[in-house]
Amino acid sequence: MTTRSIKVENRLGLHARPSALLVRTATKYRSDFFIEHWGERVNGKSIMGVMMLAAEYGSELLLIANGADETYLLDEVTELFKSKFNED
Amino acid sequence: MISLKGLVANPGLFIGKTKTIKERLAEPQRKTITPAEIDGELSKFSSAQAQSLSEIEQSLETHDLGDDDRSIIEMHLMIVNDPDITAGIGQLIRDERLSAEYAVHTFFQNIIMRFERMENDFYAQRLADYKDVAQRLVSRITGEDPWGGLNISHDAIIIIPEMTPSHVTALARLGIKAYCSEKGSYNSHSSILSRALNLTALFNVQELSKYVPDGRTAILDGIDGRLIIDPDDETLQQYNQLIDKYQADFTHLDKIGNTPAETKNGIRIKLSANLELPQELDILLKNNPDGIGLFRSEFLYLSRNSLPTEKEQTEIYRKVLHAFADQTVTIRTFDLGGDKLTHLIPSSTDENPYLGCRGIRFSFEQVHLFKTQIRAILRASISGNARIMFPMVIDQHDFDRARQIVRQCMDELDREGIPFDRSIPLGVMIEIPSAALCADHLARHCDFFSIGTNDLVQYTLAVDRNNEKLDNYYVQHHPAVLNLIRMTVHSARTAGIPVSICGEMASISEYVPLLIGLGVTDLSVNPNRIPTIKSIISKCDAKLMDTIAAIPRFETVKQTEKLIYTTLKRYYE
Repeated sequence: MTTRSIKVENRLGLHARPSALLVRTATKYRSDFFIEHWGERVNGKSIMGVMMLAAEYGSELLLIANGADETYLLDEVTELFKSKFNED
Repeated sequence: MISLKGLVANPGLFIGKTKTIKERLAEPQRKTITPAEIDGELSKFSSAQAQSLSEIEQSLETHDLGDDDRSIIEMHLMIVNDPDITAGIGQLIRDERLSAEYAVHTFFQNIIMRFERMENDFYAQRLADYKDVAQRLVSRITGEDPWGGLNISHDAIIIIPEMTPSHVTALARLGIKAYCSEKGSYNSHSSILSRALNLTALFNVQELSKYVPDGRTAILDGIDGRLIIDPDDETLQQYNQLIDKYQADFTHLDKIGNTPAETKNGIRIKLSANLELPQELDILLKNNPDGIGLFRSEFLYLSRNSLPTEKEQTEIYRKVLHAFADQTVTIRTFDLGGDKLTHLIPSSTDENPYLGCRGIRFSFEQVHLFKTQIRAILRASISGNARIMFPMVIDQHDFDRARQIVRQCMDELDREGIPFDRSIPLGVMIEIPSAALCADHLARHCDFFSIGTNDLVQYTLAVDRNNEKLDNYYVQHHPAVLNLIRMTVHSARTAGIPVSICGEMASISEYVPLLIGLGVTDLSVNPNRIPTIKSIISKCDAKLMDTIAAIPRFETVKQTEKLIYTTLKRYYE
């Protein structure tokens, strides 16, 4: 299992479009993937789960991946956050 | 015979049979199952999922969709496919022994409730997606279809509580020509789409469902704004004659479609079209307009779940410019108030939105949004003849500030080595009395004017045009308005800049001779009005111009009414 902390840096937060992008990306990998925010843990491959987080700009999230390709998954997801989901 | 009043969203006349569409299916009733039925219900659910997936995928393939529409449909796919939703519903079937449809209903109700309780309204717009998917899954399980098995005959007049844009496209695909809805506003997306797809539509018909049983003969009068159910023979005959006349007019207008707009005394009038949605472009081109006089760019921001990127906007502008290679396309920068975008950006709402932070004021406040749009227009400008117009400008100071931002964007693009049209004209929408009153001064600084009569009337007379109680006060031909128009035209003429009229007045038959008489040679109208307006223009002559020129000042409403409805009548009838 690998975990990583990340901050939501795009101004609009994790609204519908970035959530969809995040889920689509994570779903390409076989590892399980979870996101934690304020102690609430959701399945990062579920659009409903990710949207339930309603993570706004500046939120601190914990990304948790578990499986054979966990680091690849986290690398690509981290990249999405860093590139602000191509929004700003 | 019953006659119900409504608001015309797209004009037309249609006689047919009423057909009610239930917008939403009845909610599934709580139903529990025996352990032996569990497997059966689970497989009902998974085949509903599979069926929904293939239907949604098919609609992705068969429709020519914009990025935003596509992203909505892709969101639906993700919801149908969601592992947590699938597991949750499976659990309700297995552990709570709920029937498949009731399990779907319960699970989605729960999601929707949780979203509704959230503090930020990130997803207020997305709730509709969850509701839509829930409804689809339930109907695939129970076999009930909200479109009644799509078995609707072409002469149907659809009766529906509320129209959604996806309903409008579905109806058009089925070959339906007319519908009535209990709710709706003229400026809604459904209404705009109805005009684009030419469905005769009546909105806001009170207590519609109460009065209208299925299969009754009805007349949809989309001219006077009435739905007549069970008409008597005399009425029916009257309407049949009207329809014949309407169609004859139409054929006549079709013929003049390709000729340029010109008055009897040889003045060429530039007759361009207003564009609201890029989807309208194809229909609009059929009417042969002389370019786009008003491209309302708000649609790029409304009913969306994310802000449009520079690239996305550039593509849309480029496409429109490309369609009018030789003619000008006037793009009005977004005319929005913060209240329209709370789901996308944090912004406050004004107590009095019409006098608040909207139009160019809002652009100055959200300057990054404004710059994204300006950069996109500039990048697209090499594909045709674009003009940029600023809304809600009150004086030269506003205009200078906007121009300054355009120059900053030009400098940026220069540094990035991106080509654009450096001499792109920058103009002002004259829609606030102060701008009209200072028009002589403004005209020396900007490249063109376009008079937006809707707001000009509203601001001059201090009347909210959506307020039904004030209908009598919203007088477009009020002398104050006409004097302001004349003043603006005169100032533009003196300074040698073009001036056009792009408000609703230019699309209304009775006002066209008057506007031509006032010296306007550039009108921008609703695309489907082009043939009619063109035929009116062809009747205008030198005598008309002299008649108007002889009036030194417009003084009373009585006087302007006499002028329009008596003296000028022969020009538009």
